[in-house]
Amino acid sequence: MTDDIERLLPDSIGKLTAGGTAPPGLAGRVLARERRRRIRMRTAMVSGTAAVVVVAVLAATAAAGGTARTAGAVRAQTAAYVLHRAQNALAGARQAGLIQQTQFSGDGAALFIAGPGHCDGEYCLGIADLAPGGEIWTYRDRLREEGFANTGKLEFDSSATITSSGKGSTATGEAISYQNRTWWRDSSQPVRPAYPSNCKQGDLPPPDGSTVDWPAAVKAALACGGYRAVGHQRIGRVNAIKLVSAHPQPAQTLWINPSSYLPIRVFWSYNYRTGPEKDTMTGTFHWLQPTAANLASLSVHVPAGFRQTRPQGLAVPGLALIFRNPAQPAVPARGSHATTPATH
Amino acid sequence: MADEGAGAGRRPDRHELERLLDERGNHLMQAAIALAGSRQEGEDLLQAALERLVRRWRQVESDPEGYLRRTLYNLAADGWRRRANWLRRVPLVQAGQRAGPGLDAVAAVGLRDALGRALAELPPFQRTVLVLRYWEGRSQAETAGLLGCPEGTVKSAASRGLARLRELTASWTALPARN
Repeated sequence: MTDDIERLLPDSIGKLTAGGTAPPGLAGRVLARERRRRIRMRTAMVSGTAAVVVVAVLAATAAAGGTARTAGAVRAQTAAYVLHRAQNALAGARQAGLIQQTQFSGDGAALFIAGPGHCDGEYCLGIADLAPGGEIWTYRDRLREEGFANTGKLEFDSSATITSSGKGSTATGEAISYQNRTWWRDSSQPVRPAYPSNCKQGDLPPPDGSTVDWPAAVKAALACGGYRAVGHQRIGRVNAIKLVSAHPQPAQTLWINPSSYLPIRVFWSYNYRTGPEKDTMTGTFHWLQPTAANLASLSVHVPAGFRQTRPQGLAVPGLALIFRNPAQPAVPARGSHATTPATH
Repeated sequence: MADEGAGAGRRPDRHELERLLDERGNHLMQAAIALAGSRQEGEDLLQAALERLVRRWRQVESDPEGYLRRTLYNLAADGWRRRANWLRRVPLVQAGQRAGPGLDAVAAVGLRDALGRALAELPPFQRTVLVLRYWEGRSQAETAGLLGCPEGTVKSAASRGLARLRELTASWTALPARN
């Protein structure tokens, strides 16, 4: 089936697009819309909004090279505004019940799913393959994680509902091992609590096995005050506000959507090696409405033909990071406890 | 907030744009259909990309088609149109079960046709990667370069996309399995 899908895909797409022709009059319509857009832009620039004015002041002051003190004061003020708006937006996203989907990809840095296998004390670790790609969905008390081996192959998929009581938190859910073609249900798995706010630690750490509530984690990181706004950068089609962290290791950059003030991307850069080469990890945020179909993304879907096995533990909320640290082996031995992620 | 090319730079006249579309419009339209999932959406996507081309014409007029293609891919991958219809996920088809109403209509059609429709149900980035890799025949590195992302991201998106296609089309009759 695998071969069939890949073999048929080019023909399928070809059939879908066969006979497609550029519609007549397209050039005229495009030029007309662009003329109308320019008229709207000129009008908007004159009236402006508070956010546009604030951000424009930031850019203009930096460009004009005003006195360092004045520029710094303005920059600090507008950065505070951005951070305040971002925190409110994150709180609002949580209140609105948005699903938060984060796609991770690493260059040098990699993720592995702390998943089925050996359980020792607080949490279970076991998956040893480096996963340069991963995806997390979080929604209220629900969490789903996918991890991809360095071959790009889906390695692991796990979903859980986290419940908290006076005795701590537990996870209940399902997990799939694509390598073994097995799946299981499990519950009462001790898990670490949601990421606490720790301003001493610095800013937003990558998911390290304890992050359940990403919006809360980002909000807490912003509240620590370690970020400063440094202008704009285009992320896709969004002219995002760029924030950098004062924390030296890892160097962090966070991009905020200037319309919604929700984060759209985060970037970590670690430099544990001599020389200029760095290990990096990028997380791209997507904020989804809690439609029935999107909520379905929070559950694993067991492929046909997979065998149900006895419970083998659930993935620890969040993902753990492994970097190419010359002091440590790149991949922990299978079946052993993974090393604690590089500290930051 | 700066806008790309707002109020600045030379814009193409109608003849220049029509010449581009005469020469390459059909293939660009087919790419847009593949990326967007339907003819109507493809037309809207192509129009959105052309509008951006018009704004950047002065900077890219030496290779407008190249810029237009890259814009198509990135708009599609970025989910340029955040409407509910592409955010909705089709209920996954499991073995022995029939799909939802939308897919029932094509249940009698072969896997090849089902694949084309199932592709439209993928998240935008996955769909874009699969179109670039399997229809345009781009390498992983080329695809990563066009989309401005690491190769690992392309790899994982392709893997996820193919896995989802398998799930969506699991109930259709497949060709005889290979060894």
